[in-house]
Amino acid sequence: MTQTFDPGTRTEAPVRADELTALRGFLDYHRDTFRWKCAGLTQDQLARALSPSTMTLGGMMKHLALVEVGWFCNAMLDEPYPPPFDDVDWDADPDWEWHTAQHDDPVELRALYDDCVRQADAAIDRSLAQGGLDAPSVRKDRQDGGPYALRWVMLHMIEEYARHNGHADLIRESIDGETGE
Amino acid sequence: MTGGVAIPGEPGIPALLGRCNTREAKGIPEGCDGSDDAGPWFEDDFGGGGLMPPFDSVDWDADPDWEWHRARDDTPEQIFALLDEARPQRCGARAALAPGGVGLDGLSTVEHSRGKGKFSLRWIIVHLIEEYARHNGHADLIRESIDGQKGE
Repeated sequence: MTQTFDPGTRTEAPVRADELTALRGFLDYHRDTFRWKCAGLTQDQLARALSPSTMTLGGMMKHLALVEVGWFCNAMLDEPYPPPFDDVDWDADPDWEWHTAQHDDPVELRALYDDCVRQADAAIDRSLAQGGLDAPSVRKDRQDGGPYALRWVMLHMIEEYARHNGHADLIRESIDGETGE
Repeated sequence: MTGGVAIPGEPGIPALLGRCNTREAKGIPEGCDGSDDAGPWFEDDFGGGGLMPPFDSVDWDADPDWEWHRARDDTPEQIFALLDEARPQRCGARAALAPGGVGLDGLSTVEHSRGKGKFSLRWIIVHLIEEYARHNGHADLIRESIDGQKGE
């Protein structure tokens, strides 16, 4: 079984919108672009890297699932990580999510990713209710000791996704030749 | 080699990247500030002014990917200079964001190619962030394939 995604259903950021609608639109655009880049591939294909890089699309999906709940649930609201991330020995392997994805069934991996996105969206709503895009994170920046604004986290996630989608573009093309913006 | 590319070690790219599109390796600096599938942004689309040289005299119908193809004939110094020169020319956006300007809700002079109307300056700025980030993702893998250098 492989993951599926119809690129015709991809969210597009509205070209004229208020700040929050624009940011959520771009975030959803990149979430859908990533789903598209991973769709139709077998577990073996999701575990392939484009040498000499060691990144894989499966590892990237598990990583982005972690990053979604890491920023929006844990950093912004100090909520605990959901399974399977709550039970990982990160000291033993700081890149656990990248390394273990090769053992995950593609459909189950996508279900984990989609579930983390849903939890992240719900967490965004809770942060917005507390302070809009200026809402401060509960967890503080390690360097300056201050909170992150939800606005920064939203923009950071857009560029995090866009950069990984750049990786995904080249990795996917190396697997089966599929390209596309 | 008749000209350089933006990234040292270019001859190794096709072999290392296999079936990947090698144009990605050659045109990133020009591609970011010149044009892409939806057209250039800050100078022409928003402010309504003309494109800066060399983009103002290109026959885009003859080669819609001119900047990607042309970059192989440029030296690294020429490409970096062009990218740096393109930044201060983003005058349309600068005026819009100045006191009394139209601000982030200001609209572009050109319209979306698929009928969505004019672009807000807010959309253009966020789009350029994600455009750069995605190309930096390409650059991560291309650079690592050339000389092993990587880093976030």
